Parts: sequence; structure tokens; C-alpha cells
Amino acid sequence: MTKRDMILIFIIALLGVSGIVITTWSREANQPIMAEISVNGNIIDWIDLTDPNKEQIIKIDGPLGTSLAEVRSGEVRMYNSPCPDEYCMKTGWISKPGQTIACVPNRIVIKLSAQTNFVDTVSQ
Amino acid sequence: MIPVKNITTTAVLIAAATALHIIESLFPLPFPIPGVKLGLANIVTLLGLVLFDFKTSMQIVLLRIILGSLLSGTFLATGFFLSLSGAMFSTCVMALFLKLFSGFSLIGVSIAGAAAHNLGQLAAAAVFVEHAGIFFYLPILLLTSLPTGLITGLILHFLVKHLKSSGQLDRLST
Repeated sequence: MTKRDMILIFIIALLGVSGIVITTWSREANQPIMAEISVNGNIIDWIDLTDPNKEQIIKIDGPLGTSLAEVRSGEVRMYNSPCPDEYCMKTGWISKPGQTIACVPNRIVIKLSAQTNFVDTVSQ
Repeated sequence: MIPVKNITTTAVLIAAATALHIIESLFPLPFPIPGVKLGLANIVTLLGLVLFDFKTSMQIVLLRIILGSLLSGTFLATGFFLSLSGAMFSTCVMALFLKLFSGFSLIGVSIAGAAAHNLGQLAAAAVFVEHAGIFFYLPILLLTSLPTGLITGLILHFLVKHLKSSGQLDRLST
């Protein structure tokens, strides 16, 4: 273990920890949260997660089959998916902006972001 | 004409790498993140870089991924391309750190290779889902590459030390 090894380890650790800090704690509290569901890079639906009483099951059709996402208490998870490894289901509930559930075989990404506007700008 | 000894050693390394690749896929890891794995087959990749050159190591990597995926039934599936991308990028990075950059021990090279492996897999996954949000997994993947790279690096370190001291390192390749 040389000195340069330690520098490399330090850099990787720094990148990793700062990445986690940035994605988890850089948001203000009580921001309205929206789940953006995309298949093959195309956004097919937005789900507003701010209502804590909302319970919904969303069907997402991908190339592999139909995945089901469940919304409950302002959180979302992948309830069922036809992928072989089921990483997306094992991710569990996500509720903070920036967090993501991805089902790579079925080309689905559910990403949470902190905005309620369905359009960012309007050009005229 | 490649010496026969090199061909046979390479073949044995490919067999060992394939076996490690398959055995590793049988371990269920607690992290539900695509791409977290022990990377034991990278030990063989790095050994190939130590014994031979970059081209031979690439051959070992390509063949072990093809063979491993054929044997476990995931050939040309999504995971196959993720593995391929990660392993090839990892081999390039390890060759860079081993041959070009000085001052890194085998452990450092191994950690760099593990981080590169995860990066390559994530980049391939990003191509598949066509969504940059998947890079959300990058920080935690980088952090897990530290212990896995350390473990494979340590194993390789002792392996090479043992091979050197028993005089077998030179006998494996001409």
C-alpha cells in the first residue's frame, strides 16, 4: 500500500461521500415532490407525491413486460417487475428528491424531483 | 508465433476467471444496487496484466464474460452488456495504472479497477435506460468499490508474492 494508493482511496471516498451528501441533504424540507416515470428515456407520466393519503398502483409498460409501481404515503416503490434480478424491487421505498428506482432490463427509471410545475418554461 | 506455454497459461486463466464469474453470481449481496459485486474475476484480469500484456488480458476478459454468460444463460441479456462494458473499462484503467502510472501498488490498481468497473457498468446502464438519473447510484457504487477493490487487491498481492517466492511466476509465462 503506497502513498499514492492512499491518495487514490481518499479521492474515491471523497467523491462517494460528497455525492451522497449532495443527493440526500441538499434539498430543503417540505418541498413538493414529483415522481417522473420514464421508459427508454421517454417520460410517460408524472406522479405528484405531496398528498400523503394518496394510494395508487401505476402500470408501466416496458420492452420486457409490465412493471407495477406503488405510491403510498408520499413514497414510491417498484411493486412488481418482470426483470430477472429484481434490483428495482429490492431498492424499496424512495421519497426524497434525487432518489431513483431503475429497472434496467425493462428500461424504466422512476426519478423523484422537487417541483410541481409540469412545465419548466414556456417559450413563445 | 505465440509460445505454447503462454497459450496454455492464458487458457487456464480464462477457465479460472469464468469459474469465479459464475460462482460470484451465486452470492446474493444485501445491496439492491445494480452492479455491486465482489469482482473476484478481476483478480484473474489483473494477474493477466501482471504476467502478460494488455492484449492478452483483454482476450481473457472478453472470453470469460462470453463464456460465463453462455454458461449462466445471460448471454446478450442486459446484464451481459453491463458486465462487458464494466470489465473492459476496468481492464483499460488497470492497464493504465499498472503500466503507465507509477507509484501504485497492486492494491491501488485493483481499487482503481473496481471503481472503473462500476463506472463502466453504470455508463452502460445509462445507455440502456436513456436517463441520466441512473447516476444517482454513482456515489454509493464508488464507495463499495473501495472494499471490494481492497479485497481483490490483497488476494492478488499475496498470490503474486507466493508465486514469486516459489519461482513459479517466471515459469508461467515466457
